[in-house]
Amino acid sequence: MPARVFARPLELFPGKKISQGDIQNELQLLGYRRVSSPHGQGEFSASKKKINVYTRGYLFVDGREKPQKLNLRFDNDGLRSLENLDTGTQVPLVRLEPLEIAKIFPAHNEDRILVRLGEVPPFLIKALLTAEDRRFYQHHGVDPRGIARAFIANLKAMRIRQGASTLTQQLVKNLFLSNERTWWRKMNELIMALLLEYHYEKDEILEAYLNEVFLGQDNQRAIHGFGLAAEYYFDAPLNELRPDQLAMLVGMVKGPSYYDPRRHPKRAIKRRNVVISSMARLGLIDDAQKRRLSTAKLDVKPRRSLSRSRYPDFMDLVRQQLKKSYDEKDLRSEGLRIFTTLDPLLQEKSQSVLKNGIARLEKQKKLPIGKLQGAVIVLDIRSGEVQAVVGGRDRRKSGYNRAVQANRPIGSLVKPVVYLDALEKGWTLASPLKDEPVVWKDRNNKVWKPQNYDKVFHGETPLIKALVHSYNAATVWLGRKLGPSSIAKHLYEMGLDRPVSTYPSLLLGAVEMSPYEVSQVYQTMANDGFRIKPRVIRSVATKENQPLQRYELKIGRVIQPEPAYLIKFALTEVVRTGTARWATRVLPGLMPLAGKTGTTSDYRDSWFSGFGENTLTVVWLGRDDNKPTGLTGASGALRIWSDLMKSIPLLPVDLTPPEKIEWFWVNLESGRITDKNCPGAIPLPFVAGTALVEREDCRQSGQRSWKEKLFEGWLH
Amino acid sequence: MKNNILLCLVIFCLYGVVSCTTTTVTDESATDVGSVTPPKTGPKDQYPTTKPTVGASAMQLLELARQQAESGQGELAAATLERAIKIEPENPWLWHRLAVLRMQQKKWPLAIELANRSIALAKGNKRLIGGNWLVISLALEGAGNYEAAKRAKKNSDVYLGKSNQE
Repeated sequence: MPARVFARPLELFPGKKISQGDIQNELQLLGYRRVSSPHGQGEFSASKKKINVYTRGYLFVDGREKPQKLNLRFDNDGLRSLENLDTGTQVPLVRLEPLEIAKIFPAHNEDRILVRLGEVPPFLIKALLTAEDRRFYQHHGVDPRGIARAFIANLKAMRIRQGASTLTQQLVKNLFLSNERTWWRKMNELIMALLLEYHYEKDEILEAYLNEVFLGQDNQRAIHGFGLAAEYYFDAPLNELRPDQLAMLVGMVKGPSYYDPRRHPKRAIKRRNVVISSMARLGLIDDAQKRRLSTAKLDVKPRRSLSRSRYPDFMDLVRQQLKKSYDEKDLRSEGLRIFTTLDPLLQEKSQSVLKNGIARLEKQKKLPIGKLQGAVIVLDIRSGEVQAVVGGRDRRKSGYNRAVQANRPIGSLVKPVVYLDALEKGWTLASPLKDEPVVWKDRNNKVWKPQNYDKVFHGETPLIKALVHSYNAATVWLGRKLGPSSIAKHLYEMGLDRPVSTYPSLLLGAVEMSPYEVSQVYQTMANDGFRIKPRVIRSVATKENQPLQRYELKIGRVIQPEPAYLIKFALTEVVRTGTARWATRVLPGLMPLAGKTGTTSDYRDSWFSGFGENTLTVVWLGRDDNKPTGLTGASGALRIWSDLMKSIPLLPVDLTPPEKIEWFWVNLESGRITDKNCPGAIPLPFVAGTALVEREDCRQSGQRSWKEKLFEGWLH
Repeated sequence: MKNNILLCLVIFCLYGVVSCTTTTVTDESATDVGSVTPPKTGPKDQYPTTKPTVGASAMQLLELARQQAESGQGELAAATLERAIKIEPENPWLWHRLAVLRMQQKKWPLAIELANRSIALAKGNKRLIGGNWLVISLALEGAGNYEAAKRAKKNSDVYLGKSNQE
């Protein structure tokens, strides 16, 4: 059996920031049917600010989530309450079943959704026995009457035209024998059927049959068993199918290809109605039922190949992680259940926002159509869980996962790491840096003269301003004092699991990283200096639901609380007043948010890595042929990031400081402490005891007004 | 070693009881699960001292985790506490509980880091910070680092002492 891979189960509780639309989307992804009033499991109804849903329940490793009828009510902040409609009580917490996102198949493409006899709809059993073996509970594996009838028919035709196989014989044939029609095979089948009946109970044989019978072909994969067939043809669990749908599946046993409801719907209906009529003749259903069932539409779902993952980019990371612990063979054959961290709602949104955003940028900026590519990674900051991975605007076309495989220069995304290094070494956000022409010879005597984006040098400038406006010269001036090797060390500690070269150009981001690697480094900054081992899998269980392995939350502090706070604050200023100001226009109600833009030489790469309190998202745009895109981090990736943030439950960054932080009003021009009422003064956090005591009076400073400041230092 | 186990149990019970009853304790400001606190920037005096509580949803999981831990299913209990943390990621009490569990499992370095995480989120809650320093102290002792354990214990005493004077 293949390994089955699941998304995270959606947890519902009062106060959860989730929209009604998102819950409806999740229910639809899970195959719940929208009805006017839910009566059966897997059904829901929705009206304004209200959803009624009959959940299916699920057997989790830590216990069973029972099916229940729930009333969900919403307000503007999200889910307000959950009430059990049967008991009238408030429910504090509900877990929906996890969406199956992929299967990892064995070489011979065997697959099953095992069903237990007790859980199978009785109608299915009645229909099956009516159509295939009416004397199943009477015979001993072989039905002599049937054999006699077929024998005579075959003798008359002088060849084998008719079979009289009991369910037991069919099971034997499916399990052990070939499909050829010879007397020798038939004899084997008879003997083995008798032996099977001798050793097993009728119900055991029937259950095995229900799970084994061949019911179709999905590319290389055979559809065996009614459980899998229900999913393959109706995208629903077997116990949620209507009687007419069950009858259709039973009808298909005779010839799954000939009666394929997708290719030959008329034949499938005709055959289904034969089954229904037979049941009516035996008195198992009445005439009214017969008429109703015979006129029902097939309602077969459009074909969706189950052997292909819904989210292949995310699955790349899952496979990478699984390979470290599991044999390829076990993965493909042991029927493992793999519970991942994927959030299908975020994944779907990330995919569509990236696709539409790139198309819009191409149009707006008059870029060549179809050349621009992109990638998105979404992380849950506190748990380190990877929630969404998008490896390109249309994965199906190329199969190239840019989010994980594309290593590109990160440009100014490296700057917060440089400034963090300085803050750890005692610099403050107000420390003066020199933004002036700089010439640096590296170890190979190569001369390097970094320029600012606006081609202007700004002279002495406070540290935070240099970061907020992404001044290159000031960063290099600072980085020379700190040493590139110190920056490389930080990158490593913060999440880049490989060494990088320590050329001076590292200070301006001449280090190549994938969006996934960038997300790890930024996760540490977003998480107050705590690095968390990234997780794409929560746990693995056996097919019997026994826990095998858990990927626990592993955490470690790599930045002290105070510098971690200062850099986080500075990154919120990047969004509030710096190169990422665009986001404040799009997301005014969510401030403060934090992040950094990145642009590389000749506009080849456009980056934005940004976060709120709960979610970190990295967006990269560029071309596969590495030609210029014409986009900066702010004019490209930031736009897509902002659009995505609009549609997800993002929380503002919490800027509550740690203990040893104190605040002063600072003149950003001079970097000196000043008066609250002076124009342009902003409150800056300092590690206690590090702020300069020298104060200035705004009347002497001759600085520009806040309005003038607001429009300085635009994009890069 | 016996002392360690005793202390672990004391901490677990002390904070377990505290956090399990917070929904009915009135002197602590109740925080709605998932509610958004408007962000504040500015000088320190704008920030109130946070006193976290546990909402009903996470509470249900805390209780489940307790049962799982008591029946020897430590890893399931950890998974359940992680679920609770997903519901209230900013709640330092939940991180503290996970730190205590890891300490009971003798996962010393992880217990220390989780306690540190709780401290970072505790923001002024001296009782909780003191409790976390105690976890750190015990974990350091468990790892054989007795000098550092002593220093951590001192820290714990300072915070818990201050807490008692409140």
